Amino acid sequence: MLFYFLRRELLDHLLSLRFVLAMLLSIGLMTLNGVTFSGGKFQERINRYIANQQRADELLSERAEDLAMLGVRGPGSLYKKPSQLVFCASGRDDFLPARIMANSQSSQSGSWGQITLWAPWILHYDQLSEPPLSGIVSDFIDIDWVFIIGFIFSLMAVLFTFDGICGERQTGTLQLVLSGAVPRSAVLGGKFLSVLLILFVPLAIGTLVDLLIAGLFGPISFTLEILGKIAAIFVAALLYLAFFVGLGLAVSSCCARSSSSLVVLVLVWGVLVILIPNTTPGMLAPLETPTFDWQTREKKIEDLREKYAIHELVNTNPDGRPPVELVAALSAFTEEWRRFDESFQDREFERNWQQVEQSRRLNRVTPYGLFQDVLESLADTGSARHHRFVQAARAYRTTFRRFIQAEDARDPDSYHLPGLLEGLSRREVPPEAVPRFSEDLSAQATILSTLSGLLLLALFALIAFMAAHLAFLRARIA
Amino acid sequence: MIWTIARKEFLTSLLTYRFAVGLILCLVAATVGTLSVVQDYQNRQQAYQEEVDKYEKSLEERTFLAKMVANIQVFRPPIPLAVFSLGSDRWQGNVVKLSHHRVPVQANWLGSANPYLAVFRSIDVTTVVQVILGLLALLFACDAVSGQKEEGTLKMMLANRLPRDQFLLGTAIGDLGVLGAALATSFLAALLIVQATLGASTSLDAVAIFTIFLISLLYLTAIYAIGLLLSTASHRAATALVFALFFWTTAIAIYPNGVAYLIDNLFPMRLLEKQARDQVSEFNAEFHRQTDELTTQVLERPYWGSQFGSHGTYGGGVSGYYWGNFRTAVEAEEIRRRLQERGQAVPDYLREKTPEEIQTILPPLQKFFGRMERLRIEYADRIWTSAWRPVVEHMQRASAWQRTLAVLSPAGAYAEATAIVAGTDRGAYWHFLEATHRYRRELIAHLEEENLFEARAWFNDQKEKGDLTGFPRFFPPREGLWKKLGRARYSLTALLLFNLVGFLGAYWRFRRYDVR
Repeated sequence: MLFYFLRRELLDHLLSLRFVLAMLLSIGLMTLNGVTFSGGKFQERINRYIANQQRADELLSERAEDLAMLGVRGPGSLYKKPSQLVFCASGRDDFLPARIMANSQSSQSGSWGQITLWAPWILHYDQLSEPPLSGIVSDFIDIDWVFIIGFIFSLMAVLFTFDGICGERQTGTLQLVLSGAVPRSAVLGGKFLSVLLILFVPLAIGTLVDLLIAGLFGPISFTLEILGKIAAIFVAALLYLAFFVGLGLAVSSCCARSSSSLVVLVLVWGVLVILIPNTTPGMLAPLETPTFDWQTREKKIEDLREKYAIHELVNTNPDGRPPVELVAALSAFTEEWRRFDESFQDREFERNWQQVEQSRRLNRVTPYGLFQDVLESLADTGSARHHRFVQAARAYRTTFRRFIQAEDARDPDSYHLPGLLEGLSRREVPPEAVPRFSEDLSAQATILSTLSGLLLLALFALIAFMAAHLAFLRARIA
Repeated sequence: MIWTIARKEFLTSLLTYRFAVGLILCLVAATVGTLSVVQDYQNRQQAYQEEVDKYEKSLEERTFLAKMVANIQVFRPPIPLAVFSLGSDRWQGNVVKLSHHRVPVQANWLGSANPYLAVFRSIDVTTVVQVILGLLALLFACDAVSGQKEEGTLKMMLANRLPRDQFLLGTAIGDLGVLGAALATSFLAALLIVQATLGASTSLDAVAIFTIFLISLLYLTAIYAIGLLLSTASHRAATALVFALFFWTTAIAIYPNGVAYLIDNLFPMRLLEKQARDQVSEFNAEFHRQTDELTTQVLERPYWGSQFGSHGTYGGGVSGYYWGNFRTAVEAEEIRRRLQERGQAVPDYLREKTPEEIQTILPPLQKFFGRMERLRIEYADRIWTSAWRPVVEHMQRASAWQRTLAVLSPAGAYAEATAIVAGTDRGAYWHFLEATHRYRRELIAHLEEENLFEARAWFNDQKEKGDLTGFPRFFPPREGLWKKLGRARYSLTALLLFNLVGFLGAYWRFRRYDVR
């Protein structure tokens, strides 16, 4: 019975003007997305990343000639790899920093006597100091899959369902259909699945066109990882659209006239897709007051210098290798400086990031916000990815320090005192042995991290379907 | 008769639940949106004030003039009307560093409270009007003809001796009255929030706000007219609504964003920027060669240690000075004192000089600076003309393309017109940058007039200090409303044309409309 209704509804929708318009919109928008993705900006971003990465590798190899130099000055800048799936969810990556500096800021070093003190290397979370040059145009919404599916296709779902029940009631078809021994769940199930399928067709065709253009002209290679992520994006899209299909059928069951059903649905859709996702920054809690500002930080470092009497220490000018007591005192100073500065920078980042997380959490209340979050997470873009990038950089920081410690321990001549060149081994390490920064962007890891989002989307879809079912069971048929 | 119809339509629309829901939506969106935009404005205003204070404080620490001139900053204050129309104000920088050897290329951002929040969008009042009230206008328009036909009221009304044009006009006036009321309420809510949060500390241009209100009304009538045309083109309200929603999606959501997205991606800037930076490096190298020659020509012996000038490149000019050397060449009390404190030996070139020695050192140095600073100006101008101006022109072209294409949709034309009136559009930013270029010329003229490049205070602050009090001052350009409206003429004409086409089309269709 279900299949009979499914077939009937499918044929009905296939021949409608709505389907033609949906198809045209989908193909048009996906083509625009593919063309712009292949248009040059992304290629430019990739080239920039490759050049930066090359420079960072060279720097690391150069520093590897002297373990102490590597340990004191740090591994250099860590770059965020641009995601190939940026066309699925742009995540406004232009507005997020693309690197973290893990470098000693030489400007803070001072040289007295024989000993050069470098500022300890810590993670400096870059901030954008000037507007991205994309600021040529005013603020706009990227035509990525988040917009095409999240905005346009959800509206399509509303347009395909608003008269699903009340339209048939108005024309009298519903009464005729239900006068036979037909379970209501079969009618509703047929309608639900048919709309989902009918939305799937333009979506699949549009996506294929997009992927074809991106594959032929754009910088993307379809590996299993990428295809796995695209498949997961499709699952998320269907779950998200299922919510709006369910919602449409529920409202349609409750309304007497098609036009009122459409009006109600459009208003509800407006709240869920436009209003809430765009107004969450206004509902944010104010930024926590900083525990330290930058001037206090400078002062604290100056105080540390005084506490350890650095001027006297570095001006002792010993002949030959500095004695271990001197190096130990300087090492204690740089280590305290590092610990303080590291926790200051980390806290400063967390303080700002808390607001972003808060806004993300608020956004996840609506299906649109949740869908956007899931897609950005799957496409490795946006704030979710940036947070993963920061976490990966922090993990790398630990790995790198352990490596330096282990290599230094092998040299019997070293004082084993971190923080200055004189305290560590001056041996050369093979560049390939130095740990390199990398992020786990495998499909498995990405999908696992978005599992909760996908389950929540499924829950939204289930609730909407149940609401439709309940509304249809109680609906009048004449 | 028109007024009877208008009154009836006004009351009917006013009492519908869709108006109630629409109005609540608008109010909530306008309130929450304005709150977040005001918060953003306050943050930027605070950052701006801090930056200005810091700069003014730095001016009090008077040093040698060349250093002071090299660090001149001018500011573009955040625009209060951005709370009504954000435009691209948030993305345009507010601080410009300029000097005779640096032509500004773009304004830098102020340190904002939380830089990562840039990933989120906020909606201003004009976006609420554009999206939500635009949708409400379409919903009303669809009901006006095909909705009334479905209900049967249309045929009853036209059964009397009621001319069709009067019916159409009356309905339109009634519906637009309701929309106008919703618009006024949204504006009022936003104004109240702005007054409550910003208070008397910020003066808002009431005429500009009223103009934005009028442009909003013009936009809503255009959308309503198009909706009316769609309504007269179909016989069922639901069909008209479906068409209207497709129109709304394409014309309001897709088209303006699609155009911006396309332009943003198809006018990649980074490559051009890199080329410009490479060119700047070449110019810098050439400049350094020339200054080395000049040094050997003019100065008998170098007064500095191993290096002259850092080879770093600035955004729009040639590299800076290695300051210490010129000071030490003449007098270096401060450096001597520091070295002695640390118990280090004072090198010969830093030793205290007799007045006679100073008298012989000064004239060649003054001559040297007179020629070198002019060389700096020449190179800064060359860097601007050959390296950076093409980049800026490329940006302006991209921006002009976006504006031209966006005007083809009512939403794009509306956004453009309101941003121009609020002063938050790209055009206002370009005007500001042009003003900074003019100011740089004034600055150079003043330096030349007063012969300051050859003054002792230019490179040495031991006996004389620099002072910027007599210098020309920078005032951000102000644009009158008429001028702004002049710039918005294309967008306003487009809106008028949409009105005309919509209403004439609707009238033409309605003349032969089957009302049964």
